[in-house]
Amino acid sequence: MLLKLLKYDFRAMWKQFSLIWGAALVLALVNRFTLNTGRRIPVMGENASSLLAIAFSVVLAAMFVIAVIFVIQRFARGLLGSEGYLMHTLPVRSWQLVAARLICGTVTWIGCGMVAVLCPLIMAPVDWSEMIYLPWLNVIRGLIKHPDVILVFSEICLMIVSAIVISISLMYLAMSIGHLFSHHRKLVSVAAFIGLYILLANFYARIFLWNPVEQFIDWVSGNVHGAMLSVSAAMVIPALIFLALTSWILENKLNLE
Amino acid sequence: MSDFLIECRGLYKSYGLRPALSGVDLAVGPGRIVGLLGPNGSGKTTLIKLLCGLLQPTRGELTVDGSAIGPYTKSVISYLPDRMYFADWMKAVDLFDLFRDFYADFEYEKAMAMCRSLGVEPGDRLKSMSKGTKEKVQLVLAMSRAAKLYLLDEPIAGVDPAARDFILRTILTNYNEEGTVLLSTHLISDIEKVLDEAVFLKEGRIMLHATVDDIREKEGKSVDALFREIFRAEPMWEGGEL
Repeated sequence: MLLKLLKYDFRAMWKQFSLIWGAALVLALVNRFTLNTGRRIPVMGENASSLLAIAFSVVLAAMFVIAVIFVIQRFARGLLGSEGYLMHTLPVRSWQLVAARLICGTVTWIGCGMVAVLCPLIMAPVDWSEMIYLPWLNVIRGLIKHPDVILVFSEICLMIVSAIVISISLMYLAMSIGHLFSHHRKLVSVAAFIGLYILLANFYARIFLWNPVEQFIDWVSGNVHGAMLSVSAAMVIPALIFLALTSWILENKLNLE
Repeated sequence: MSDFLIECRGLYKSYGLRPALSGVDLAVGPGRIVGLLGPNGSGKTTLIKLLCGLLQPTRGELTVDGSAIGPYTKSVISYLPDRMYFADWMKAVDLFDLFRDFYADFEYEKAMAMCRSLGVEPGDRLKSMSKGTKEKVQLVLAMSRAAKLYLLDEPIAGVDPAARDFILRTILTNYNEEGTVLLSTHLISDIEKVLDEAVFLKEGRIMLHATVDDIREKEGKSVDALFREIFRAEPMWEGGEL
């Protein structure tokens, strides 16, 4: 059932983001040829070139704003609003609805991040045809000889995903708390988000000063993998608690008046 | 296993301090068409939403087909809400795909055939449809399932008499006859002829639950006439109360 839910969540995501991701990538490609970097012959005037660069920046900024709004709307409207009448009458558990939204939201943010990384690469004055002649085989051989590099890269990715997961789960819990109230739900949700954020920051501040945890950190800090995995765990564990609470509220306190 | 499809015992639901349902005891068997009748604010929608799992009871017990409200009961309930519930980016066919994925009893071909007979183009985006067409799509979704329980919340409210007949005919010609239809409305005269049972709700309490034949036999009047008698509002006197 989770896979079926994901199918529709990703379809909704693609409808919304295919255009903006495409626009960002196309504008990056156009800017590659129009930006007056001094190294290339400008194909158009200074003003048009500046306008295109501004348009690209606006699209990129809009993409991130839309990504945040998308995550909030998919949960607020999709589960706690009018679309909840459909979603909560499907024969699925609440945690599956929450998990599908979370996975889709996380992928959306990762997608936006990848587009934001790809765009400067596209715009960079690099001759891509030369990349073909790079000694790729040696690069692969080198990676095989030093698998730690791949492991560190995977751990960095895990940390990024964990950071996204805790941010989204914090939003979900805040919205679910707001849903427990009959009036001013949006206002309560914002207040709950701020409250939870302060609570989490305080929790981290206190827990890392606790002697057993300090000793554990000293122990794992000697190893870069241990340190990064600990940071990921420190984000994933509270995120799981937030998600469990969110699912519990939707399962037991749902109130689509 | 109970003989009843719907069973409520001491069901109570309040919104804050305001009770919407107060100690509802109700048992409805399979294969019945039941009218959930009452004026606005009597608790009809609340009861239906509780059965769907969209609301949680404050206290009391509620089962459908012998199970507490959960994924199983949702798989056997076909719900027609009193509002639009779909995302605008979707097309009717997207919703049919979704229903086919989640409900084993959804009949895709029947949905397409109903669309044709109702004049709905399933490939059109819902955003571009009129309110009436969107309502038809929701009706198609609800009635294309061979569900055990159909919960139809005010399906004929806000439409003209000709459309009411049309909607009722669509419901009656498409529901699973082994299932039960619970139909909420305050427009009794339009649905009286199709009902097996009537449940009168007033201020969150069941005033009467009887078969339509019993009502006619014992009371010597139609369901509509009895409803008007029970729910008659006193004229408001100047400076007085209802």
